[in-house]
Amino acid sequence: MALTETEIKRLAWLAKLKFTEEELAVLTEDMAEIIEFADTINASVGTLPAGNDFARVCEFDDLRKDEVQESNLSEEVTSNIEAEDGFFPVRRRSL
Amino acid sequence: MKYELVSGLETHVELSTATKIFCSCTTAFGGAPNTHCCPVCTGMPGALPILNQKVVEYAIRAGLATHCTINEITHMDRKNYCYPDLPKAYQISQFDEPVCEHGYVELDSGKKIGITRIHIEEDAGKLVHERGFTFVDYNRGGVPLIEIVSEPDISSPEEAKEYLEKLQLIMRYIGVSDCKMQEGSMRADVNISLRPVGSKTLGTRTEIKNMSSPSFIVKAMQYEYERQAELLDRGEEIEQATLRYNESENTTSKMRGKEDAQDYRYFPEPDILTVHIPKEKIEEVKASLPELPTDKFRRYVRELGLSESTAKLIYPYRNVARYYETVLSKGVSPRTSANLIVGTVYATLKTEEEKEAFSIAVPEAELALLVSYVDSGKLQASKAGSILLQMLESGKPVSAYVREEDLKGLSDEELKKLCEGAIAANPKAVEDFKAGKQKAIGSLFGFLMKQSRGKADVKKAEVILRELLK
Ligand SMILES: [Zn+2]
Repeated sequence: MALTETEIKRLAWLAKLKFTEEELAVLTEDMAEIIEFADTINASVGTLPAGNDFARVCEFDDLRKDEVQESNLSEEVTSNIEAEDGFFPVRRRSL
Repeated sequence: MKYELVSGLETHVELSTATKIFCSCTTAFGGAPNTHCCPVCTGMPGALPILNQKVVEYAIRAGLATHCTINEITHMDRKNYCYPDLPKAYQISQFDEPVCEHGYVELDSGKKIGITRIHIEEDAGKLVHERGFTFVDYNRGGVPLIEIVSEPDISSPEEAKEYLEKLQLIMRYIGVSDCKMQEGSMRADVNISLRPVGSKTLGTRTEIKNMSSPSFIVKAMQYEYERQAELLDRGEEIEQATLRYNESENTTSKMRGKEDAQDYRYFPEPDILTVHIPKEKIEEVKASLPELPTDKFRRYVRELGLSESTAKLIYPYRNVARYYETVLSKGVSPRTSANLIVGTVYATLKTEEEKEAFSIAVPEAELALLVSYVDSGKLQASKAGSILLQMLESGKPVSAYVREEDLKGLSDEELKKLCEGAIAANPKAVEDFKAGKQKAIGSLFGFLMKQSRGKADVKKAEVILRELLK
């Protein structure tokens, strides 16, 4: 399944990205290859034994218990940015 | 033309779990920015969410309390949107297999407002816009929410308010949320459309986002009704739009129109397993639910014989209702107990919060003892009220104010003697009474009460006095 240029434009808009016409042409081709690759995965998924979905079900009893764990990661969380008073600063840009 | 209002509410309720929905960070309110955070709730690449059991359990509780069906298989979905309050650029929510579906909330009129669904999701972070920057605090990010989506069954602003207040009460009763609208733990989006009275087709709707007070919801809906009605009267079309309500001006303004409607591209969340809720678990949660507010109200009126107005002063406060019912468990009169709580205890509680907390100095057993004295005619209700006030003040037991021997009452002989004394001491009143002034007997009662320190049985005394005065 290939994507049309209209679909690529729509995706770009959703992702808040801007492309020139040339870039769009290249992207349309690249995306077709990516989708084709994903199709090979889809094809093999179809051969999995029936009922395999159950491997992805978690029983209610096995869900995480509601107990606070001090992670002590608060400082690390902001360590790769220049935090201001502990806040993440984000520059505002109009799209 | 006359138009009919058609409205549905999407209500977000913050759940009062100890930890966030997908990580073990605390949900405690406040804290310095980004100190209740970890790689999961700040959306660090590679961090994996793990679903909190309590969130699912609370959603089941909320669903059962609103007569919903609980789906035994439920899963999370990604809702994509790009905004700094969501560090992952998507919110983990639920799309096609929510925890609960098809319920209702009943209004006082008996009308049922349908609940389409209740799903679980994560809250976003808090943004502060300043100096051309946006500053982000993710302490609230990942706090669990349920979104309760109603059917478009609401046909007036007053119904919307009542629906919301009922919802608030139910959620507090079952202990899943404190639903404090002013602190943002309950918020609602209001959908509104108009149609000519009698018409069955739905008009184009607008949505007012993020309302945080029932009284503003009423005002916003009234405003939006007028605005749409005016447009329709002029033959114009309603633009499908998302609106913001401006509290200070009491107007709505457009946030975005149909052309920039969000495309959330929902898809199943690959990082979280589908959850299986066994039937036994649902039954277990059902059995643990307390009596629901509407049922309690009806029982107070129908079985305990309270007036509707008295019942309405007690049942909305969970702690008051619990206290009241403990008093009743001692076998005393429901009405006397209710009147003492509503008439006397409430006089000492100034705010709604104080009523809500209801931590008073008089234990249930002491109030029950006091009521039992009134029930057996040993103590007058008004006297009980003033004793209760003193007890509330001092924290001392009933025995500090009422001595058992005082309550024994008078023998017929003693009462007769007192009556004779009262007649002898009040010649003027006796004369008036004999001259036909029935009210004059009142001052004889007053005298009797004083002399007997409140012990005299008024009904008996009246019989004796009338006999003596013949
Ligand atoms: Zn966290």
